[in-house]
Amino acid sequence: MQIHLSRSDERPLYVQIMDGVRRGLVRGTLRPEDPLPSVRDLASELRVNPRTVSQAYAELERDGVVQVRHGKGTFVAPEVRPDQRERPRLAKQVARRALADASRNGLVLEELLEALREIGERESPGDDTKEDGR
Amino acid sequence: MTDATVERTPAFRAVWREQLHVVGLSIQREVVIAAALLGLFCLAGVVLARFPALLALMGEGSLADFRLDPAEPGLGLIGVFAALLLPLIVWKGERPFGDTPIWSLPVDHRRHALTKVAVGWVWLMVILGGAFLCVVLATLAGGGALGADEVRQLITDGAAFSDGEAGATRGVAWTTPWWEWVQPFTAATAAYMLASALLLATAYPYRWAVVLYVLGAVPFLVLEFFEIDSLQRGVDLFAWFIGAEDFVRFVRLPTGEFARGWLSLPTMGMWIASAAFWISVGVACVVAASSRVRDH
Amino acid sequence: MTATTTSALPVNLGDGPFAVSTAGLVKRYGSSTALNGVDLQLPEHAVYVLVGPNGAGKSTLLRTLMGLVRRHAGDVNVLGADPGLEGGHVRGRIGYVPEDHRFGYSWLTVGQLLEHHAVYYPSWDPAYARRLTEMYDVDPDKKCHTLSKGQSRRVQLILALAHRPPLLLLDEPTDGLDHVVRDATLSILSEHLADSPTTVLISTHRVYEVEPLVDHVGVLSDGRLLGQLPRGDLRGSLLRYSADVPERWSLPKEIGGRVVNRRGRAREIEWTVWGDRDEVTRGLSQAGATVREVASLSVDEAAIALFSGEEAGS
Repeated sequence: MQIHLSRSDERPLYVQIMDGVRRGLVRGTLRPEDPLPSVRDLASELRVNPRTVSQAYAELERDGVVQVRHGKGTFVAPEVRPDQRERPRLAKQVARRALADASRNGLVLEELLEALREIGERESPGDDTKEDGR
Repeated sequence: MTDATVERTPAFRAVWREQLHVVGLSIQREVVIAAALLGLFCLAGVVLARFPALLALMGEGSLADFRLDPAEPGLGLIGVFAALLLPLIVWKGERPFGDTPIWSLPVDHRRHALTKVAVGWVWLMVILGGAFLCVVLATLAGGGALGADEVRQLITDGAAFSDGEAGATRGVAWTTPWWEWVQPFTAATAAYMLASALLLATAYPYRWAVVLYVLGAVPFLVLEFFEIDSLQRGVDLFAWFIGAEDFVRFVRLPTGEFARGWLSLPTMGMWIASAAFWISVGVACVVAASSRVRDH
Repeated sequence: MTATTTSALPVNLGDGPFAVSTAGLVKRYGSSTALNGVDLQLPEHAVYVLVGPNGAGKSTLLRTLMGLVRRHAGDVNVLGADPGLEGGHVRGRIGYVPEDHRFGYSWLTVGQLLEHHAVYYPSWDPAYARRLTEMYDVDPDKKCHTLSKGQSRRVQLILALAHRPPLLLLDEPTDGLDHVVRDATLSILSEHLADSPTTVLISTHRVYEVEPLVDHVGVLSDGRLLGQLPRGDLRGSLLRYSADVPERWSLPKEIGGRVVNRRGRAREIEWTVWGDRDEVTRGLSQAGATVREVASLSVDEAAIALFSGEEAGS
């Protein structure tokens, strides 16, 4: 599970960690019953306060995404179904970011939707060498 | 682990032992050099004593009747000199002022400073003892003897006597008393304490050392121009205590010859009084100076 | 404890429990005042970053907590004791990295220096010290006076961490370290926090590096605290509002928050405002500004906004 924390990201660090776990579920790299790294290990790897990781894990447990088993560590909950909740949730997050970006640039929703449709049909992910920018 | 149960400050004995170790390390280089020099000197003495032919070559007299007299002017003075310099080496790199790391340690500042001074004193005694032992062994190895054993000519004309004056003397038998062996250690102790106090009291010990030295010369200057018996006596006693004076003067006997005469012979009372005075002053100065580094 | 805040940001963290607290702390050096009535509050087990320009008094504050500096007025409580009265006791519970990277005992080797400290700190963990020495790639046989600035810093960090103190006072801990070692230090600190319950106070210019560890922020300028609050509150309530405004428009008195800083040209303006996000956005919109973006700030950006705001008198 690869989590990258971005300093320029608006979201608090613990939310970024939570989203990283959800991303793993959506992409399939994390499956039900998979163990998550220990609080100590993940905190050390990400160079964050261990409490931040604890907070993320606690919130995820509250959402039913993971289970903290005392003495053994934290595991992905066995009954998790990424498609039902995580996919739409992540999609909304991406949309929110895009809308904020649009607003900053003075664009309206319709303009953004039009551009998305046009580019989404033409380009493949990761291909950003077109002249008209993104 | 709950913090209440964890001991976070060191026991005094551990600190004492560690300071002994660390101060020992800091003086190591200087002591080794001094020991080497002393060893060479003693070795030379033994060789010259055992091989009088060499001595004859040098034009000197004979060492056959050499007796080690601890009250010989110069011997005690070397110890005092070393004692004055020792605090500089003890506190090497740990200036008592400023943000030196020694003050970040988990010990009361004042007590730690006093501990360090005390540890330095212990090492001073060990070093002087070792030096003394070396000289004693060299004396014995060279065939000499320990302590004076002679008839001293006591000048009967009074204390105010200058070299070369005519006078009468009276013979007094003299052997080196036990406390003359201890005398240099007490003088060194007093000197060490005073120097340590100076280091603790001020951030500019060298400047103040010069000032004090100049001030200390004042009584001597005064005596050049005025005859004040009590001051003279005090100065003489001080000079004797630090090993710079032995009250020997040259007397012109009625026969016209010159002989070595003693103005007075040292007494145990003199020693106890001087040692008690100067050591008390020294220790008091150290304790007072240590209040400058106490916790704020 | 001073009740009024002439500062833009809150400075009171409530009732505690606090590992460290000062009340009206004053320290003068001759005619200049280094600390001018500081009410520091360091919550237990918090990681608190103290930011401020050079000469703000950060190092003086840390030295006062260590009992290395005599204060002129005010109360200081460090882990339940006054460092001015019980210096030894307090220092035994602190791991301190001073601003200065020089050592005393420069003629000792690193190994001897570590052993020396092991005697003075009964809670010294020799296995941990050894592990840190390896991680930091420090040669125990090297004499201290031959160490480079970066190597000295690493040794100072080992000395501070190895006895697992309940309080860490770190004055520019990453100063003099190269990128790789700086990164390793953050990882080491992170693990240290996971292994031992510790309260940490980091004083630094380079907040960027330690920011992910931090949960409280204190802003010190000219010997006073401009703000002292949880990182989350700072992130949530000190925001940068970018807006388009019509010609000859001026900001009304009340917009639902306190303006800390302002930047921008005629029709495009940025304000840094302390206040509730929705309220301020509404206030600005109602006043005729078109709010394009509301962004939270890094601690660095927040500090800069506060300092330049201070200078401008806004």
